[in-house]
Formats: sequence, structure tokens, C-alpha cells
Amino acid sequence: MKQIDFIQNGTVIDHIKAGESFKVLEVLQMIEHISEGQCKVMIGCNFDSGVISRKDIIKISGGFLTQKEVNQVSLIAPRATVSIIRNSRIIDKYKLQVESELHNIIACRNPNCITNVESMPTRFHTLSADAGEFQCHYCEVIMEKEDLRFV
Amino acid sequence: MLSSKDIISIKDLSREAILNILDTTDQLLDDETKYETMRGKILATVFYETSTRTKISFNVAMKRLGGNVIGFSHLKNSSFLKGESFYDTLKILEGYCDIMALRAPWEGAARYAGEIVQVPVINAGDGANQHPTQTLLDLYTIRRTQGRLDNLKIGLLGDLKYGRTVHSLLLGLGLFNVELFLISPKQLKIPNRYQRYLENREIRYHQMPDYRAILKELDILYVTRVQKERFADEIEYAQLKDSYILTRSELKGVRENLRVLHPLPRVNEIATDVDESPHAAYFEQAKYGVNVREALIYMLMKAGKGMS
Repeated sequence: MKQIDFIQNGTVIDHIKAGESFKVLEVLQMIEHISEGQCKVMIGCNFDSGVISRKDIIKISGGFLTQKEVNQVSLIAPRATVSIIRNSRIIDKYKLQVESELHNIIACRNPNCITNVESMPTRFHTLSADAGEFQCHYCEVIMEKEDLRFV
Repeated sequence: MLSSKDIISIKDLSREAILNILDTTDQLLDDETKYETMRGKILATVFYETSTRTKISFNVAMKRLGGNVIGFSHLKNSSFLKGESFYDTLKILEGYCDIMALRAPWEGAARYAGEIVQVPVINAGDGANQHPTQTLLDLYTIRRTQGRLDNLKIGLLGDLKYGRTVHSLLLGLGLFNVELFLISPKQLKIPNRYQRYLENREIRYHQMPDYRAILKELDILYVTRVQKERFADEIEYAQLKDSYILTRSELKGVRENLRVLHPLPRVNEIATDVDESPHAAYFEQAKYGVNVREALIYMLMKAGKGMS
């Protein structure tokens, strides 16, 4: 059964844990060529999945993500897969992976952290990719998924 | 040997590294040759906030090793208020000194400083985060007064929620075989993450609102003050500030080796009549702060080949 329209060129983010696609959309909203209406975004929720029990899927027609944007999506949906489509063919497909160290991807929630006082890149250590726990390299504060704010 | 050029966080130190620092402190105590080891070297005390005792302690430590000291002691004496970045200030001071002790009101400042400059950096307190030299002098005092760091019963009393020194000490003690008694009002209990840390390290601990029932079992009672500056709500502070006041009469019948420690300054949580008791060790503890800082300067400079 065709669950969601095919796209000719663009990006498919699949195997997003059911319910988390809206958080992924928040990340995508920050991407200029997506938010400014240069590409169509389709979202499907609560599909059956062999990999995880229920999944969400996002298709971005005409839109591609930079490595930094992929890294940001990986923090929200650490088990998702990304497919790159060109001329209706999948030319690249990979599972998202949360880096063990995050360089300038997220901002520290601690207003008194040196990274919020100085103009400098942030750095975090991934404590648990699945639980979404990241520790600031500088102030040692632990961030959880709901604290995530992107740089 | 230390694995880093800097001393930033107690979390960076292994049990062996801590013991190495404490051993070096012991070795330098009566070693008269130490007086020449830092001749011609300069320590910069870069203090963006006031901490008189810590700053003096660093000054004395460097001078005892034969070195000199430069620095500033308040944000208003730095160029930060003129708009100069922390980065620029440190890069400039790096050219003027051989080692730095940094105190800053921002969490993470010391770690960042260690990345900016080539000279060794000792964290003398970064906001509410870490104050590793305090923890090391606490551990030194415990070992010096008890002869060991393992198989001890240690009570931590007071503000266990906001108290940076307690959190740091707890991380350090977690590397040794100790039994902990965490004594606080329920509003100031130790945060969950520290309980998890103790559980992961299989450290036995007990939480309780009063110390009187267990005082006779303890080898160490570490007292902290309830810090006014950590409370947004003055009413809550007023309710909790006098939660505990240890008096000399309460020390009757305790173990002979019991020592009462306090990071100081004290307000009223230890009555002054305890000062003359053989169990009081907090002034001795403050004195060891100099010795431990001597050892750290010595070790970092030696590792960085910054000394003759």
C-alpha cells in the first residue's frame, strides 16, 4: 500500500519513533529553503513498521540537509534512516547516528555557562543517544531531550 | 603523574592521580629544597570574583616555592567590563605568567581557559560547578587526620543540594571505600544524580535529617553552611539557615579519632566552643589548602617542564 507520495528529488526521513516527527519538523523549520516554501514537506504518522512498532515518516520534496542539520535531526530521532532521492532513485541511504561528541550543534541550557557568556562554539558529550542525554563539556550540566536548543 | 596539563574538575582525576597529589603534598611538607623550585616563575591569580582565602592561599603556595604572583581579584579590576572577551584577557595574561589559577563566576570558564592557553590552569572555582583544590585539600585533611581514605564512616552535613564543595567531595570520596551519612533538611537533600553516582560505585550511603543519632559512629563530620547566595527565596533561606548548630557538648562520647571539617567560612553551624576541642580540624584543613596548592603547582610545572 502506498502510504505517502513518492518524491522525485529530495530527502526521506524514515523510522522516526511515532510521535516524534513534530519535533523533527521544528528542526526542519529552521532550515531556510524549507521554511521559505521552496520545497514541499509531507508528514505521515503512526505507520506500521517492522523495525519499530509504530513510526512516523517525513518526506522533503526538493530539499536536502547539510551534515549539521542531519546531526540535529539525529538528536531528536536517533534511530531514523535518511534516504537521498535523485531522479526518483535512492542514491544514498543511511541510519542516523548520534556522534559521541557534538560540536556546535546544540546550545547549553545553563545561562551561566561560559558558552553563553563568550562568543565560542559549544561542545557536548553524548551520555545516552536513546534517552537524549548530553553533557556540556564546559559547565558539566546535563541536557535532556526537552532542553535541546539548536545553535 | 597527572594526565592533563590542567586541574579543572575532580571528575578528571583517578584514584591514583588523587593519591599521587596527596603523596606529593606529604613529601613537600618538610622538604626545604622546595623553596627554590619556582624561582623566576610567575603564577597569575586571575580572579573574576572575590575569594580572599583561596587567592591568599594560592599566593602563599607560590611564594613558598620561591615564585612570584601577579593578578587581579575582581571582575571590576579586569577589562571584562570594558568589553574585552575572556579569551583576549587570558591570551594576554598567558604571555605574562608560567601558570594560572582562575576563579570565575561562569561555569565552564576553567575548562575553556585550559583550551585557550598553553600554560597550566588550576581551577580555583568556576561558578556553581567545580572547585577541585578544595576537594583535594578536604581529602588530604581526611587522610592526614585518619591515616587513610578507605574504610571510613563520613558524615556530610548541611546544604547537600546546592553545596558545590559537598558535591565535589562526594565525587572524590566515591573513588574510595567509604560509608556516607548524608545529613540535611529534606529541602536540601543531595540531588538524585549524586545518589545514582554513589549507587553505580557501590558506595553505602544513608540519608537522614539529624546527626545526633549517628555522631558516635563517625570518623569524619564534614559541616557546610547554608549559602544565602544560592537561594532565590529569602523566606526559604531564613527557615533553613539555622538547621544545624554543632556544639561542644554534643561531641561527648564520640570516637577519639572523629574530626570535624568545614570548608569555611562558617556562619553559626559550628559553635565557637568546638574550636578548642581536639575534634576540631577546620583551621588545620584551611592550612593544608596551601600545602595541597603547593603540590599542584609543583606537579603541573614539573610535568610541563616549566621549572628548573
